[in-house]
Amino acid sequence: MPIASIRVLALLSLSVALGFASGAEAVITFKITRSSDASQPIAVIPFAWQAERGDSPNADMASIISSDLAGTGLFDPLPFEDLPSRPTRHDEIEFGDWRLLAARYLVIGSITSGADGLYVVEFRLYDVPLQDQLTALRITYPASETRRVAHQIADEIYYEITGVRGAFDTRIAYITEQKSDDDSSTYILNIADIDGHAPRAVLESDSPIMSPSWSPDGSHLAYVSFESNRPAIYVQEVSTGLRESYVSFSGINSAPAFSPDGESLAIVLSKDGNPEIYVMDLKSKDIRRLTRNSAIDTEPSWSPDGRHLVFTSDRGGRPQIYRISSQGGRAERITFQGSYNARAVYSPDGKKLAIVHRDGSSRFRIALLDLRTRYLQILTDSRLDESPSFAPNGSMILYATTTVGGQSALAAVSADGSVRQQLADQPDRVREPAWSPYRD
Amino acid sequence: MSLSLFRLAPAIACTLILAACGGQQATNPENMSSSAPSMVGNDGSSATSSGLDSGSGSAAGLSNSQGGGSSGADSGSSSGSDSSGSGSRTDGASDSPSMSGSDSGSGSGSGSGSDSGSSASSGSDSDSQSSMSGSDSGSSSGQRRGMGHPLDDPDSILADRIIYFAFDSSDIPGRARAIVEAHAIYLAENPGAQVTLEGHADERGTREYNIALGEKRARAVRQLMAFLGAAGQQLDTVSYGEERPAVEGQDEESWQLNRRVEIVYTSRE
Repeated sequence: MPIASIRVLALLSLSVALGFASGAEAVITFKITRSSDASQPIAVIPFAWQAERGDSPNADMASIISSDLAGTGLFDPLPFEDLPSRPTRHDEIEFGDWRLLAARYLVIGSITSGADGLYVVEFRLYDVPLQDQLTALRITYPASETRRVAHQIADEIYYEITGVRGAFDTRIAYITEQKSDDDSSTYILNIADIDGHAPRAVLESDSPIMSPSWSPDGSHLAYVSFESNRPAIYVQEVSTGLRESYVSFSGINSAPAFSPDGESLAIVLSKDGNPEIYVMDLKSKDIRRLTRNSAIDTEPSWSPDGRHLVFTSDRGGRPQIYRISSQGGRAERITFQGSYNARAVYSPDGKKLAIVHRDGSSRFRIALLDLRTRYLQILTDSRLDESPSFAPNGSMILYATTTVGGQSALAAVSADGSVRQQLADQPDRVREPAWSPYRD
Repeated sequence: MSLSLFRLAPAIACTLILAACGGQQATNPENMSSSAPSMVGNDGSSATSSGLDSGSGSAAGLSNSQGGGSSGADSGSSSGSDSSGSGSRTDGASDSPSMSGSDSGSGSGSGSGSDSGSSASSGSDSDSQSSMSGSDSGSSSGQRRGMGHPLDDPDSILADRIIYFAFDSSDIPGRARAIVEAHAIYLAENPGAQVTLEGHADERGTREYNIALGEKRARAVRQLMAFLGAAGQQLDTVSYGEERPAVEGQDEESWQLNRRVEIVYTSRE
């Protein structure tokens, strides 16, 4: 039975560029630091440039797609230099060659110039043993969107093969700190593509910025800024840069987390003497107190169904993870292994928590706690890993790490721990990555 | 299979893309959304989105490179409440003599994190030894009035404005109580004086928890000062968590200098 139609991907419109995006920012790229043995070989053939005139777009789509797929741990793209041939059309494919290479999947594509200076990319995904075309797409796009279209193609491939929506066409928010010669610091809240490309500053400040949190529709970021010399919570519209100071009581105003329905913000306030978890209605700005004790309660994170929050508390003497109903009530302790467990975030399916866990050798690592079995799996292996953030499809966890040389870096680990990537070296200190929701 | 080829996207190409992207955004933003999806004819064959047994497993043995130095044990270690707090925080070189005298709690070569720049000059070491004795008389309590303002007297205990803490602790170490007490007495005697107590944490652990921990430390100092006679309106607290370390460095010595409450006078009389 032939495919009735080929699905077509609609390109979303670009968000408006902000006034203070600085052009000199370092582009950061991921490199694989630990690879998986149990991944599917896939051949992604460099896309052919087939126009008679004009320049080909600069970004290499096949490289972007390969890199996206490799990072998940599910795929093992063949190195370009090992490709026996470079077919660009269906009738050029020798399936026998690819079977010999044990390639499970094959991706071919071509790019031509379209009307009005736009480009047209066409790609096809094949199941090699079955010699079947699994999907094919044609996308028309401006040159500026080349990388994004490549991520969308990777999403399509990922979905077609795994049945799970891809999360490559998403963004990350993160904080950088630039030290100047006089030892003063500039703190920048950045947004970039998921592979670190196309970074832009959405906020620059002389004072520390902390704890970026995406709204569920990706339109806003909540964060903590010290610009008033105290930690205060702001909510900023990503596309316009317009922002509002939301919470500025005396004491700590910190750790904002949007509820899954986007209507409220979990926050931490110490206005009554010590840090407690509150929920603020974003429209009315009414606040409702959830916790009540004399210990530290902080780092709230919502369950995907909005019914619970987990948070960090030292009410038992050491920081551990607790869970409470979003309506309040008694808090239940969740973590028991180790003397320091903090900053839990729910996986998108609500079944697991990614946490910062201090192990027996006093190293801080990202661990995954299964909420049903209570099994704690340590995913990372350096000394100071923090700020875990799930991809919206749950396939990977982004986090901040410290390299052997003492440099800060962003890193990502597949949710099964099999593949780790680290952002290539960069001049600025970088921390607190937050993975955006899906873009539509 | 090697993944070598995919490790780094070509940086030059990326930069070019960015430049092109920026230019177009600036000049013609409405053009950006003009992507026209269209159909493509296919070559037949059927769609089978095979499920792919995803390669999981293999997660157990997390060996791997990173790691490096054995981070100091969590135990709070000394928490030395050293006297010449202000000296130890700023750029090493010239201050080093007084630092080495004071910092007994942290054991070996004090302040090593900061003054690396001057390390080559061998002569400086002896210099520092000689001047050491003069600097901190940490326990000298009295305020020498008549020699200028007591807050400006480097020999006064009031010159000590930093309280150090053990890891994940907000207990004020016994030896630091004298510092808190001296400032509390000064505040009680000078009702117009005001301080901000700035709480800090070392870089380990999570940032938001460290904000809370820094506040807990600042409030502990505030509570003791209030108990000793300072008035509530003279005492303000703020926490910077791990966001504003006194020294860089990823060893116990640096961490210890960063776990602190700084007493900052916003009004002196």
